[in-house]
Amino acid sequence: MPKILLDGISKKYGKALVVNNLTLEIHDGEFACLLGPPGAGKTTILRMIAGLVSQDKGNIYIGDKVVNDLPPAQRDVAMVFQTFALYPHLTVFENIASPLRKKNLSDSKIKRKVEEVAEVLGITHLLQKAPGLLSGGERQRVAIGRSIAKEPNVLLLDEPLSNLDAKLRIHMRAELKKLQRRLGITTVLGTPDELEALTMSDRIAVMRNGELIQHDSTENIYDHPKNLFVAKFVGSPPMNTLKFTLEKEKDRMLGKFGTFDLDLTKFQDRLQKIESGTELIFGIRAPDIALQPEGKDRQRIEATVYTIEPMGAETVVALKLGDTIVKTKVPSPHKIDIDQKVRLAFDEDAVHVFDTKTEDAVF
Amino acid sequence: MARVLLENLTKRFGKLEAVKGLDLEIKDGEFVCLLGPSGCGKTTTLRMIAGLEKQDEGNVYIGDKVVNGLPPPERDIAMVFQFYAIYPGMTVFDNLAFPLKQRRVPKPEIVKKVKETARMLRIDNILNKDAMSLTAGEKQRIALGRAFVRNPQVFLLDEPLTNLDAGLRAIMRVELKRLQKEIGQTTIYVTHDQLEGMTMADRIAVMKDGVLQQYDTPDILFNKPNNLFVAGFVGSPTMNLLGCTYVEERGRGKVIFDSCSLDVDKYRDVISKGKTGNEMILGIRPTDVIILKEKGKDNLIEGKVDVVELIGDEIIVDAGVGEDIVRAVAPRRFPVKVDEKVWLRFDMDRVHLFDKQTERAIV
Repeated sequence: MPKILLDGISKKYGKALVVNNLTLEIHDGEFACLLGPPGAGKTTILRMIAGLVSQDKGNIYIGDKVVNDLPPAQRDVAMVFQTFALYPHLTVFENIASPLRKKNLSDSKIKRKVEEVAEVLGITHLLQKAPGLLSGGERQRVAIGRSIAKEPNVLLLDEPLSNLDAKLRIHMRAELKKLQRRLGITTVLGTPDELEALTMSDRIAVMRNGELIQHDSTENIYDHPKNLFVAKFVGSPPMNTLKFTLEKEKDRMLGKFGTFDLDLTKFQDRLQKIESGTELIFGIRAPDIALQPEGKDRQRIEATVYTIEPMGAETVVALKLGDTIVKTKVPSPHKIDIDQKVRLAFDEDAVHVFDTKTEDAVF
Repeated sequence: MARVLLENLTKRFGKLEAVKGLDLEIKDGEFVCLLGPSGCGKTTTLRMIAGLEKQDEGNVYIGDKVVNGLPPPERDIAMVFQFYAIYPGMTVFDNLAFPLKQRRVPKPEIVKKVKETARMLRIDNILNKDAMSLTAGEKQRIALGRAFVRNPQVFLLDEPLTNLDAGLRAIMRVELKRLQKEIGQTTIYVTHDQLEGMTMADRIAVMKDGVLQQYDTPDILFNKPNNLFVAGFVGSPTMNLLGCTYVEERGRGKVIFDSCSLDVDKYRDVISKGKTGNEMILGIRPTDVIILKEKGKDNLIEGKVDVVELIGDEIIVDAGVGEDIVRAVAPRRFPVKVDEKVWLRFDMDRVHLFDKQTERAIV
């Protein structure tokens, strides 16, 4: 029995179908992620799980109970929002204690709980301060503290790191992940940030326009994207894509890219069903393109360096290949100059091919 | 085109000294980035160059001229802001043409210039559209285009990419850099995002509390930071910074942290010259920490895996070492699990040491 089961849920706002017949299982103790651009339906799904909006169709199970008709307070779910509202006139202690006070717990019990939570979040030293005196990261930790103090069954996080600066976000990513593991609490994160999804979650549900596109382990989402959308959305820099025409000859297969040809005979099993002359999309990630100053191989592809982006230990090089820009990564330091001609090679084990019309992955 | 020279530039707001005695030379055609956290004085500096703010002390030169007394329109600069101002109800063409019309440029020349600029910015296919109907990325390009079209001596850009989503920001970074190189315009770019600075600028001026910390190429900033602040601010994931004590044991120089001892004898001369005490901060980038599953010979540090984050083709591993966390970057397939014991080796050629008192780099 999954911890959370969304069974064929749909939601309309007026004429807009924001979630379309979604079925999704989330395991007990899992760190799950809903990933997608704005308008994907992430927030609406979280709000439906929390009971803040009700679905038009389908059932929501938490544990083995249908919770469709339960109000938020009885679902035993806590939600942390992007803009974390703390009570400004209360201390951090009282902010965390507030949901417990509603439960009529004894003062000593509340004190023990708050201190426990503060310890886990590393904010013990802040307990007597007012929220106004805290940094963004500290405030976010207090907001999380308040939501986990009542030990909910499920924790819902709606873009909890969006308002933090880049450095703090990286720090909080690791913190949140550690916290989730320590508490073992089933967690659903909604985010538009693919890196947050990759780094924090066990499984990712990639969404677009209310539709579930792919639900899989983080590794599989990255290595085996189901279609072009997932391929381009997950990974940074985004996967390079190039149009080509498949040409089948007697004993070999060629990809005609316009400015160069690529021998695709190696993939003939997987391209078997595709007719010669079909236009397809070739996908390759930046780390899977190698630059070669000397081209000794027969599959030599020439490109011109368009820009060089140093990122510290590595450098992203944008190359102009025909009319397309492709990006690759090289270790720093390097000896590449703008407008230099280079030869490149693709790692054949890392090649993806997509159907032009359906955008589904052929492999 | 022109060089820009700032000489002892100082600005006070009441008691607050926002910029303190800043000397900076931006060469003709150079792309320079003013980088620092909010409140470091970067935007104030830019506004003083533009003439929107008057300095209390010091001089601003554009070309060979002191421009201290000149109002903004006479400085021949163009400024693009974070919040792109687009004239609503006007087409893209009219938006671009506006600054030229104001200067009473003849019509045929306006058409020619607008078309040229639009082609460069890849908005020539939308010239007749209503500017307000466009995407954020297109709007930002229009704002840039309006600045470019006048062909000013200096471009001043104030966090122009902040409002774009991550994917578009990555694309615009490349385009902006390429564009700047193509037209060779002197450009001063303000950002708090170290990645933007690193990837686009020829040189970066890192500022903190109104004081210039270091002015160097991205490469030097990354590899040879002057002080603790620059070391921590530039590079992602952030440099590991570990409090340590310098000792000389049996004639060899060592640093001790968390019951680990690292031999730094090869730096003994520099250390004895540079230090003000024995308390130091050891700095090592996550990419210079090698993780091993088995104990080897020298300079190995025992740790326990705390968090593993997938970031695409690599993983970030946080290892607990005593009271500290040491972060390392490892290849994607490196088999490592949470709570597992690992050994870390620091690349001793790439270790930094900072004086705890002065925070200056010793090694």
